[in-house]
Amino acid sequence: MFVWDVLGKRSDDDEFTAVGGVKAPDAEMALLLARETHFRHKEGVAYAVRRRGEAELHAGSYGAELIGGITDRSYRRQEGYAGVGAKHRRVSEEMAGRGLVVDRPRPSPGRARALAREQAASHGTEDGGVPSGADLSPEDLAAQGTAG
Amino acid sequence: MTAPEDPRVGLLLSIADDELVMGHRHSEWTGWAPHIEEDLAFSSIAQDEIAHARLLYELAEPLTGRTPDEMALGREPREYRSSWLCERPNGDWGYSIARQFLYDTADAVRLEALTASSWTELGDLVKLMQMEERYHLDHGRAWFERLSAGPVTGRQRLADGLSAGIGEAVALFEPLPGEEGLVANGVLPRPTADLLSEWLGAIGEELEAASLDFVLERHGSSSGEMVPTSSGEMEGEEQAFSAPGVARREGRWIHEGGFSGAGGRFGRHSEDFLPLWEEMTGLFRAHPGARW
Repeated sequence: MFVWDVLGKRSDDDEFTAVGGVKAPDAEMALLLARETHFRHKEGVAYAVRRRGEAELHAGSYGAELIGGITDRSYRRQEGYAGVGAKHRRVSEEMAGRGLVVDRPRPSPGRARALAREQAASHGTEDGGVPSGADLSPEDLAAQGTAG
Repeated sequence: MTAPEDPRVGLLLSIADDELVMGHRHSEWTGWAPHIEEDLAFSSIAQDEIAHARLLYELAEPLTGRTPDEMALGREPREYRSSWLCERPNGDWGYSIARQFLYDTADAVRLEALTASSWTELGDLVKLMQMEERYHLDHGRAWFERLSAGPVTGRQRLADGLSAGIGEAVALFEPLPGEEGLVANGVLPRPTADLLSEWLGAIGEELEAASLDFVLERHGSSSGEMVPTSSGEMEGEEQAFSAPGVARREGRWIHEGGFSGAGGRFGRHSEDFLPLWEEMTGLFRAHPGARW
């Protein structure tokens, strides 16, 4: 399997610039895979591959209108998650009205450490440090979240 | 629903449900494909297929009164019109590629026919789908050519996949409920039997070029009987579903005989459909009406 540099043009006026690479047995397969690995979000108007170490450029046959598809793919983009936090808060409030807890928001790392110190103090650890897991109730652990 | 009231709904669902179920199966390769580049490519194809299903469900909405989400996820198993080929588990990569090759070559034939539909909204929508389907065909053919060229294990797995799928691929062209009327008013420009004939002729040539036409011989002229579902979703008398056989006549592969019994186009599914349906629709059924 060979390594192929993937090149793309952001606009018609641009020159091809390297954007990444794929592994493929030949140029045709490299182009086939490069189209979806590097341009499926309409990242350019043209694409090409070049076997690493060689000069010959193989241009993709799909025109700008077909690169990245034509049906609605907005849900594939990270922007598709915009507003999720607000939705989560809204749903949490609705569920809270029914006496249900959807999830606990995770505190930021700084808040988590401060919270741990407060809890350590309230648990009476002598050095004032973070208590071990055995010292914390499930409620304490839930309040801290599971990630740093 | 054993047969939609408006035959146009049956036509739309025969394509949309194939696309939805095929997309679902393709998506099961996400994270498992042979290498990362292929993982992305196949996942992308899966998303295309599901997007096409959504477009078709939207077109059906005025006829069904059901939203695309309700159509995709809110129906009972017997209401789906997917073909058995799309329902089968992915198996190995050889079967998945063989199936994609068979499905997308067949899909291309029916979509091309529908571009001339008297239902202009459908014709226009299909032209849109074709622009993305071109990549699916390129992908299927690229893998077909490389696996058929060897090494031996890859070629054998592809051949096994083709042998397993060819009969059910023929059944993609099962006549539709109310097909006569659809053809008469031009919504379906050509009968499914014509489309099957065109597809078999074309695919026969491709298989011969790769010296894989023995998979057609294996299917033969009398081996089209299929096992009906064990899911308990069938209604009335159980009758085995049988697709036409194939044979080479005067230098061309053709189908012989006709369909008997009822298959996916009438809501009768393979035994693999119910587990797929349960997984695909599980969240929707667990939280009816939920928005996200």
